Amino acid sequence: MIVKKGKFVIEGLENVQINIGAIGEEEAQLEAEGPTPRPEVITLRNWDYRLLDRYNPTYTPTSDMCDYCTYGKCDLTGNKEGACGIDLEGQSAREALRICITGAACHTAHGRHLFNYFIKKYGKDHPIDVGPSNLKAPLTETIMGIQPQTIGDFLPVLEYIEEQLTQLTAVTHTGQEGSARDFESKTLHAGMLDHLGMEVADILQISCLGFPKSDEKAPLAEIGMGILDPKKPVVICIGHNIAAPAYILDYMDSKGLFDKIEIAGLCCTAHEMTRYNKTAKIIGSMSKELKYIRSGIPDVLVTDEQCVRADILKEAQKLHIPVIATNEKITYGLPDRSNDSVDAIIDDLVSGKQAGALLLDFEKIGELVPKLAMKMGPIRKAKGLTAFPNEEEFRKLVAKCTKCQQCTRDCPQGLPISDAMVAAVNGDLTQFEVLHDKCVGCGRCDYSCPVDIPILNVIEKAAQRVIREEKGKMRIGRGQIGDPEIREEGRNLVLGTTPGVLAFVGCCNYPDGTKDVYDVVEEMIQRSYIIISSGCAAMDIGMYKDKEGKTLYERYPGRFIKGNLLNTGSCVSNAHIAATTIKVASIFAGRKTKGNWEEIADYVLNRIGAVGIAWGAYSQKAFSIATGCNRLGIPVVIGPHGTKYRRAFIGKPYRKDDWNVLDARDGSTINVEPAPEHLLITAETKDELMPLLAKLCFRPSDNSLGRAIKLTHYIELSEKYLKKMPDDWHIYVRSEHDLPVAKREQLLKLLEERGWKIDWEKKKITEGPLRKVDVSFQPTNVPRLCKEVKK
Amino acid sequence: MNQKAAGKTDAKPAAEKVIDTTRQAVPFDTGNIPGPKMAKAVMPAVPGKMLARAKRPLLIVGSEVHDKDVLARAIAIGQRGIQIAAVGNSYTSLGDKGVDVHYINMHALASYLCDPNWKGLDGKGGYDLVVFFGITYYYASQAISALKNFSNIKVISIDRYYHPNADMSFGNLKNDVFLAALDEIIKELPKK
Repeated sequence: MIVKKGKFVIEGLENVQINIGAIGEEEAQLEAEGPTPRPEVITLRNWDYRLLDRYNPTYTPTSDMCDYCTYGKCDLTGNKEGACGIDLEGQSAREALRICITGAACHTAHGRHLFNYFIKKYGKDHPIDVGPSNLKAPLTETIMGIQPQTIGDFLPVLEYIEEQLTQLTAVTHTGQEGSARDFESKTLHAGMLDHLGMEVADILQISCLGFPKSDEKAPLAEIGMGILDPKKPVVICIGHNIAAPAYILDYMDSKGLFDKIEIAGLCCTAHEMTRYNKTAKIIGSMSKELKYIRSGIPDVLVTDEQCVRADILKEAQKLHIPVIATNEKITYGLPDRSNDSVDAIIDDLVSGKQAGALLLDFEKIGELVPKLAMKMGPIRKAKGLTAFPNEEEFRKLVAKCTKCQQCTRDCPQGLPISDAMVAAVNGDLTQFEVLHDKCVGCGRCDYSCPVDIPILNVIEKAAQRVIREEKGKMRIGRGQIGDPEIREEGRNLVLGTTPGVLAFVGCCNYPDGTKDVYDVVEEMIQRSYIIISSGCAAMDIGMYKDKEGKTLYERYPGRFIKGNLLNTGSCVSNAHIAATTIKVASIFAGRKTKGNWEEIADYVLNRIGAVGIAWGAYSQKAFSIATGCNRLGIPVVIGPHGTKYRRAFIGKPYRKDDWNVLDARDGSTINVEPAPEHLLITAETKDELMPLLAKLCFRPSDNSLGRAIKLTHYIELSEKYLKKMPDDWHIYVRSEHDLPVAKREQLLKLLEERGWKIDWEKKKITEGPLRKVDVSFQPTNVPRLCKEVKK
Repeated sequence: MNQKAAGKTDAKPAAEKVIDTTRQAVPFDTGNIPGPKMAKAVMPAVPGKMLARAKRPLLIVGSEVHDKDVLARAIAIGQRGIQIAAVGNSYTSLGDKGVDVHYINMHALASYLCDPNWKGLDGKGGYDLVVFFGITYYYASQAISALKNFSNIKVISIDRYYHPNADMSFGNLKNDVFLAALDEIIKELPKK
C-alpha cells in the first residue's frame, strides 16, 4: 500500500494527528552507496587532513590584528596569541572560514529563496529536468546520498546545508575552535556545502523556468555597454536572482514591449535573464555597474541580491533613476510598497517623491517596471540626465589635476590616472580608453581626489568612443554537462589525451584588465583544452573579437570535448563544473556516488586534470567556490588580488614524502610526481598563469600519450610566456614515451645532462625517473580503498 | 603595467646627489595598514650593507621590473653575486643576463620561505635576508606579510613604495630618487 502525503487523524484519538510527508519520502530516497551520506562537520576530517598535509595552508594576513571581541584589539604580529588564546595562524584560518560561510550562505539563501517561490508556484512534485542525464544532481547524490526526482526533494538538502552552516558559524565564535588545521577542515566543509547550495539553486531554476538543459547549442546573447539603444526607455536588472526579472520579461512579452523598451542585466542576473528569455541582453559584469548607472542611460534600476553595489540608490537618485528593490536581502531603507497599487507607486517614483521602492510582489514588479520605464524614459531623456561632464567641463576637469597620485594610491589596480589626465589636456584620450578596460569601476578615486575631480566620470566620458563599440556575444548558459558528453570525453580526460579542463569562473577584479581572460582562453582553447566558463568570466570572454569580428563563442562550439568553449551560466552554475568531475568518476569509471564524497574526491584529485581559474575573484562566494573545488580535489588559481583572501593551499614539491600515494591494487606506497602541485595558489600575471595551468593539469594516472601531450603544453607555454624551459619538467617524465615526440631527442639530451642514463641506441631512458609508467596504476590517498593493504 | 610599477622612464641616469629614502613612509596603498608593527624607513646604505653582510641573501623581483632603468639595477645587483628569484613574468627580462636567476611563483616562494627546512632555489640552503622590488604592490605586500608573521627571515623592501609588512623599507619615492637609491645599494655590494 502506498501511503500518500497528508494529515491523518486516528479514530478514537481525536487529539492525535499523523503527518505523512517529507520525512518518509526522504528515507525512501536514501540510497547511500558510500560511507558518508549527509556528512557532519567532522565526518570528512580525515580526507581534509590528507589534503592539508600535502597542500599546506599558507597565510598572508591583511591585518596583524584581531578585533573580533571586546578583549581586543589584539596585536597578533609574529603569530602571537591574543587575549582569547588564538594566534595569527588560527585567526587567519578563522577568517577563511568566515569568508567561506558567507559565500556558501549567499548561494544557499539564493537557492532557498527560489525553492520557496517555486514550491508555491509549481508545487513540490514538479519534476527535476536538467537535460539528458541520469545523474541529475551529482553533488546532491555524492553529499546527501539521495537522488532527487522532484523539486520538493531539495527540501532536506536545503535544511541540511542550513543546519551545517549554523554549526560552522558557531565555530567562529570567540572561545571555540583554536586549531588552524581544524578551522581549515571546517572551511573545506563550508566550501563543499556551497557547491551543494549552488546545485540546488540552479537545478531548481533550470527545471522550473525552461532554462537551456545541457544545451551545447544554446543561442548567443548580445553583451556590452554599447549594445542598448539609449533613445528607448531602458530597464537594467542587477544582481543574481531571476525571480523578479522573469516577471518583467513575461509582462513585456505578453504586451509586445520588446521593441519599445530595452531590457538588460548586470552581473549574474543578466545570465539568468538570457537563459529565461533570449530577447534579454547583457551589459556586463559588476565592474560595469557604476559606470553604466552614471552614464544616465538606465531609466529604471531593478535590484535583487548579491554583487549589487551598496550605493546604487544614492547614485541613481542623483540622476532621477528610480530603484526597485525586489529581494529582502537588499532593501536600502526603501519603503515597502508591496501592498500598494502599481499606479500609486509609479506616481511617487515619477514625481520624485520617492527615490525607489521595496517591492516583494513579483506580479506587481512585472507590471510596474515596464510601465515605469515608459514614463521615466521620455522625462529623463528630455533632460539629458547623465553624470558625465560635457566637453567643456571635461577640459576644465582634466586641467585641474595636480598629479598628486592620491587616486593611484586609492585605486585597487594602481592605475596611472594622472598620466591620462596630462595626456587628455593635450587632446589625447587613448590613455583614458585603456584605463576604461582596466578600471573595475569602484569609484574610490572620486573620494580620494583633493581637488574634487569626479575621476570615474572623467574616465568614462573620455572613453565614449570605445564604449560605443563595446558589443560582444556570449553563448547563453547551457546548464549541466550531459551524460552522453561525459561518455564521449571521460576517457580522454582520465588518460590525459585531452590535456585538461580549465574552468574560468568568478568575478571582475582583474589585475590588468578584462582582456587577460580572453587572451588566456584563446591560447588554451587553441591547445585543445576544454574551456568551461561561468559568471562574470563567461561574460568577459565574449567581449572581444578576432580580426574577422568574431567572439570566441562564435569561433568555438560548446560541447564538452577538447577545443570547445562552454558557458554553464551564472554563479550558481559553477556547481555543474565541479559536478562534471563527479560525472566522469561515475559514468566513465563506475564509481559509486551516493554518500561517497571521499572516494569521488580521491578519484578526481588523482585522475582528472581539471583546474579552476578565478582570475578576477573578489567575493566571498568566489572563495567558497574555490574551497569547495579544493575539497573535491580540483586545484584553483586566482589572480594576484586573491592573496587578500589570506589563505592558499600550496604544495611543497621538495618534500618528497608529501607525494606518496597508495596503489589501490595492493596498498603499496608509491612516491609520485607532484601532481597536482597546488590546490589553491595565485599568479601575478597572465604570462605566469598559462604555464601554471598546464602544470596543474598533470595527474598521477596520466598514460604516456596523455603525459606527453600535457608536457608539450607545459614546456611550450613556459617557453612562450616565461622564455624558459620549466625547471621541473623532468619530474613529470616517467619514461621516454612521456616525452613529446617532436622534441624527444632534444629532451633526452637534456635529461642526460641532468645525470639520467639514456640508451641512445634504443632512445630509451634506463635510469633517472622517479617512477615507471604503469598503465594499471590505481593511485589513491585513501587506505580503505586499497584491495589489499601491504604491511 | 600600472604606475606602481615604477615603470616610468622619465628619469635621467641617477644623479650624484644626497637622497633621502625615508620620506613619505606611509603605505602606498592607502588602506594597507597591517597593525602596530610597520617597516622602519631606511636610507639605502642600510639595505646595501645588510645585503653585503648577509650569508645567504635573496633578491626577489616581479613583473614590474621590465623598465630598462629598473632592470639594469636588478641585473647589477645580480652581478654582485646576489641570487635572484624572478617571480611573475620577470624572468623574461632577466633570464639571459648572466645572473643567478630562478623563476618561482611568488605565493609558493612565500610559503617555502616560511619553511625552515627549505633548501632554497638552488638546494644549497635557506636564506637569512630577503630584499625585493618591482612586484605588483599589493601582491608583494601580501606575500611578505607571510614572512613577517610566520618566518624568522629579515625582509627589506627596496621598492619605490613603502611596504609596511617589511622589516625595513624605503618611503614612497619619485622615480629618480628610487633609481639613485638602488645605485647606492649597488655601491655597497662587493664586486664579484
